[in-house]
Amino acid sequence: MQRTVLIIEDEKLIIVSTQMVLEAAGFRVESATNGEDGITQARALTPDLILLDVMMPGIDGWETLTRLKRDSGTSGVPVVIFTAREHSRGHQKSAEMGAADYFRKPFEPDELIELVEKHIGQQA
Amino acid sequence: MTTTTNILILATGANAVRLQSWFAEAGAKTVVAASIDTVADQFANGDLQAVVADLTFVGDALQSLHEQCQAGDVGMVIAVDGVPQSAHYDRGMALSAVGVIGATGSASEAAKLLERLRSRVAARSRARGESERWRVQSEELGRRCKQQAEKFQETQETFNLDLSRMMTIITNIMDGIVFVDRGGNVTLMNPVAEGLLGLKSFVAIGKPISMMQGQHELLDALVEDHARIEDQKEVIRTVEVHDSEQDLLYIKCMTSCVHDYRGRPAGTLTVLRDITADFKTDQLKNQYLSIVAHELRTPLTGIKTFATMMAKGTLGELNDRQEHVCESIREQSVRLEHQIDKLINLGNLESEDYGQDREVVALDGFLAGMLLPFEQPARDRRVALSLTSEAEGVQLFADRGDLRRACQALIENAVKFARDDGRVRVAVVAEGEGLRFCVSDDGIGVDPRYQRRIFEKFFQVEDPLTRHHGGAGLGLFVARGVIEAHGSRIEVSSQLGQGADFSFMLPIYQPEHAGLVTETAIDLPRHL
Repeated sequence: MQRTVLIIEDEKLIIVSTQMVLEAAGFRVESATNGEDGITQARALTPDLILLDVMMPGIDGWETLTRLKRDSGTSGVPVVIFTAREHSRGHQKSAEMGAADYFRKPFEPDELIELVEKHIGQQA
Repeated sequence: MTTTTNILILATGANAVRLQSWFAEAGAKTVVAASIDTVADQFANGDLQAVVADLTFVGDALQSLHEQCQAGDVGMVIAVDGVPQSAHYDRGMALSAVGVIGATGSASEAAKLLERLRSRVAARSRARGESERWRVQSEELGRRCKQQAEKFQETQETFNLDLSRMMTIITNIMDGIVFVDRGGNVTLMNPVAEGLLGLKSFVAIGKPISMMQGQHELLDALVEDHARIEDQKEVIRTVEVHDSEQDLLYIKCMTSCVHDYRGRPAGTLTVLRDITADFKTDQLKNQYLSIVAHELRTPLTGIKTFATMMAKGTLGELNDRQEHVCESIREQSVRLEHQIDKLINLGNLESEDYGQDREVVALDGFLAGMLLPFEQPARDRRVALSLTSEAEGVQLFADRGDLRRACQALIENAVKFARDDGRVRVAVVAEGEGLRFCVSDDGIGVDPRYQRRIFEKFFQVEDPLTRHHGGAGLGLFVARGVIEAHGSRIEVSSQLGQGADFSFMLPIYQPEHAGLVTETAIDLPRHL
């Protein structure tokens, strides 16, 4: 069965490049460009993994994460925080908020695949 | 020594003649007063040494004559008709007369009297000299006392002036000042400190500082610092406090032990400085850098990803030239990323929050791409750049980003100082329970004199105006900060002209020892 990754990210370029890398590795990739839309799609798709940007217009990544974890339909989906900014103690914060991992952009394509495999592999 | 003695004879008739002849014969210069009324004039002359007073002649005026003699320091001889009786002697004693001479007297008796008179004058003048000396001495003493008193007053005035100057400074200085004596009691608190601590000095002064706990965030910090200072020279920290309007303030608290002018411990001094403005500027600067970095990184992610995929042939087969160009684009984007990373790091320099964002890091993944930003610069100078790892499959618990920065700072440095056609070796070797990261080059080396200083901020061995090597002098400073934050230290081994070895140790992560991290990375085969 093809595994699905949902990417919630306002930057089109990141979506396209991530999509390209993950699709080449055999994943199905869906995307949302803001938190609200991301939550809706997460409910509808129940993806295997969510890649979540922090800095987004509207509700930010942390808030989106909180809502995803509160919703019984999406709370089981591992979420990887996906950020270009340095957050002070970002790892601790994301772990405390229930994220499965914390990943900094820009990334090496191999690293991204490794990361996705790691979390989806764990779940299966 | 014989001096002429001027004598006034107060007598009349045969008596006067007799007395005058005796005293003249004894060597005195004599004057006979015609009447008692002229005595005052004789006294007024001033060079009178004695009077010879015939009692019958002087009569009632004797007492006043005696007083005049006393006042004028003139001796007195009592003269009587006939043989002197003991009553006469008594009278003479009472009048402190030199002696009594009767009608039976003689020139030799007069001479005796004169002798006695002279010796009395001499004794008196001796006494006068003595008393004069005393007077001079006591005057001198008095003068000195007065001088001392004036000096003391002057000193006191200077002291008061100094004190008031000092108090003016303490009162008006922009920093808060709190002084606590050795017994732990507050002895001084200036208005700025009052404002910051929310405590009036008249309430606090004389009371133990430990009593102030629980009233104010800053006060709590102060009490804590004063308790801690015992085993330290000074305690410096920044405390976040809320003012009366609930605004957040950042107060830098500097507490240190102070000594009095004799070098004895006097107590502890705390200086409180409101650094909110600096702090906010700093925050703004970091925010700005962070945003800029974000804006630069996002497009870079795209470029890097596309170039990587293209170079790997994921998007279709490429010919050699195309592949080479794609590889170049990728390499340059990595270099750019490295530069952006350094820029962000510059913004974080002051925070010293290095190496705090720890996670489990797989060594292999960590080392992948480590050399990429330096490949081009190394190629340009034909420096052979190599990385070897003896420790595959191990993990570290570290701040991935900061540790990478530290390693890259060492590598960048090595590449910069390696000789043309030289080599730079990066090696990771297992050593006991840990890993040793080594970066070595064969370049100009580091003078042993500078081996500590190269880790200082902005330190450069070369003169910045004439040097050949670029850089801001921050790489090693940052590397040291990161490695020290990881509980280790960077070791340098180098001789001038013989290259340099930089290395540090990190412990291997043992999952069963760490309760902190709940998940462990699973090594999965790589795709692409």
